[in-house]
Amino acid sequence: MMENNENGASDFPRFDEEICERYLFGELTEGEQEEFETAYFADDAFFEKFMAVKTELLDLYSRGELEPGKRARLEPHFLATAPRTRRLAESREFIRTVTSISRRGHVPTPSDVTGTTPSWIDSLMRFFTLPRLAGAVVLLAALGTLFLLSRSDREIEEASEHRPANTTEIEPETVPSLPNSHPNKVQPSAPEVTINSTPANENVNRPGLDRRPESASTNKQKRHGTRPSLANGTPTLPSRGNQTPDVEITIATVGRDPELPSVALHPGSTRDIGGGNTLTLRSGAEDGSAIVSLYFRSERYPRYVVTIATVDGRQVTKNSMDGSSVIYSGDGSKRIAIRLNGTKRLLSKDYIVTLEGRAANGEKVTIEEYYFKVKRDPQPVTTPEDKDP
Amino acid sequence: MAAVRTIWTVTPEAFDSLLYSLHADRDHAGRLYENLRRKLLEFFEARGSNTPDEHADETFDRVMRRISEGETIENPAGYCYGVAKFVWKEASRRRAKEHLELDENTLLSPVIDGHENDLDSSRELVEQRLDCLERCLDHLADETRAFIVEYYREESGVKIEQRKLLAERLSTTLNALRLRASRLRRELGKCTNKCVEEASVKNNRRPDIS
Repeated sequence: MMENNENGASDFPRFDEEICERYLFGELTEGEQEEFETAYFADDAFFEKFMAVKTELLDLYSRGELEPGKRARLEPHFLATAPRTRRLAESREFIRTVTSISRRGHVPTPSDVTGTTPSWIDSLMRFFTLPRLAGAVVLLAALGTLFLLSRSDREIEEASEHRPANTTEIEPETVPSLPNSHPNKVQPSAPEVTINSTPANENVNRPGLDRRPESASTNKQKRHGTRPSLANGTPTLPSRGNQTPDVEITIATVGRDPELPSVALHPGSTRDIGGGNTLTLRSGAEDGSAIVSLYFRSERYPRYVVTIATVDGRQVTKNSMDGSSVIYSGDGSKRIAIRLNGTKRLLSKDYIVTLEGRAANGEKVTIEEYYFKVKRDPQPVTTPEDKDP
Repeated sequence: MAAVRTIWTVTPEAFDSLLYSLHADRDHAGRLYENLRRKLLEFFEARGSNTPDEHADETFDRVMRRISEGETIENPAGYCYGVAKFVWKEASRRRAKEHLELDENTLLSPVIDGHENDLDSSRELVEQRLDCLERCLDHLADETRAFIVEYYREESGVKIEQRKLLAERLSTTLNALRLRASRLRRELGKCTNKCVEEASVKNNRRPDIS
């Protein structure tokens, strides 16, 4: 068990702000760097102080208040890589937002807030004591029943006749609109902000397996439910008019998922159907999903189109995605990971995946064609990548 | 430069084993895991990685593999740090061999793809982030929001001096104030990312929470 990394270890160097800054500016020697890293890996308090110094430096830099010497030391390191440039952008964005909120004029100063004046939520909560709340629920239920009874059967029938089959009513969002919000866009409600000393869940940035322990916790259903990174993608283009396509393609932000069948398709092995390009789906499983990774080498395109068709040419599904969906590998190859939803409708047969690039002028270029076989297996799903070479 | 992934699939069991190696209590282990991941991200970022998240995950993958092979790890943080150094060494070696074009590609953000739709979508995402940040700020308790706004808002004068005054007013030290602000920023970042993620799902769009 790890017990040394909770509140700090005593045998590590004392936190030194100057060393911290030199670390951030890439000025430490290899040995010093290692010593500093060893300290923050071993000591949470040390790490928090390091984070605070870093946040402050970026904040002052964004305001143009960092002293020129430090500014000159920070820039080469922070403007060199995309993640650090992004940190600077986030810092500026944060200051701008906070400033705009403060200009709305309703933010009290810390000394104003003494806790003696209850907020409207507090007042509301105090008003709704349990008996009152129960009364309100009963009253609302009675009103709802009366309203439903007042509608004639005919009206209900008419309503259902006018609703197309397979459509879902979308409940209007009740989130109040904000000045910069898009009126035609569903506005999310803000998730709870928990202010405590527990570390942040920054793993949401990770395009891949959801390793968030809270979502990977006890029940699998919950885990599926909190795996948004796998469940969303660009809107699907209907493959046949307005009909629902057989199978839907979305962008998978992960190439593999231990709980989903997956297959990796490489350009070199497209013609030979074998274990490597067989997607094994469990027979009789509920309508599920699978991940198909397409590897390729080509120039960059602003858009890509993926089409899946049967060998005899019937289009099963198609979708387009922008250039940011491409994952670049260290060996120079590129990859697009797609998620197939509705795999129950994939028959046990061979399919062809066509990957096209769309140039800015609309020109279409076929980058690669891949073959893959769908096999239904009554046994629990295993993916080719489960096996070690 | 992307991390070269080990040819081994992460299983829920392997992930559970990693969590268990951190702490027997799953919730507690979860917090330790997140903290360890943040440290790995910082490590790779400081070393100049363009994909610190991938490298962090590669590190965890290797550690999980070791655990599932029966290795007993007494100090997971130290072990992860050791593995992370190897992951980075390998990545640096590969980077040295890489073609220049790839580096340029990796650095290019979708915004500079030159496609109008991409620009629109990036702009929309930035607005979404701002909306979410505002919402998350609005959900803070009055006192906390007042603190964070006062600490970070732009106003005339030198910010560091104003922070010293704020520390005096709140009868605390500048360092304590800085720690508090840093923690709040982190929590707000977490809240904002979650909000953007939810909005992307609702709008049927790939989340971009980077």
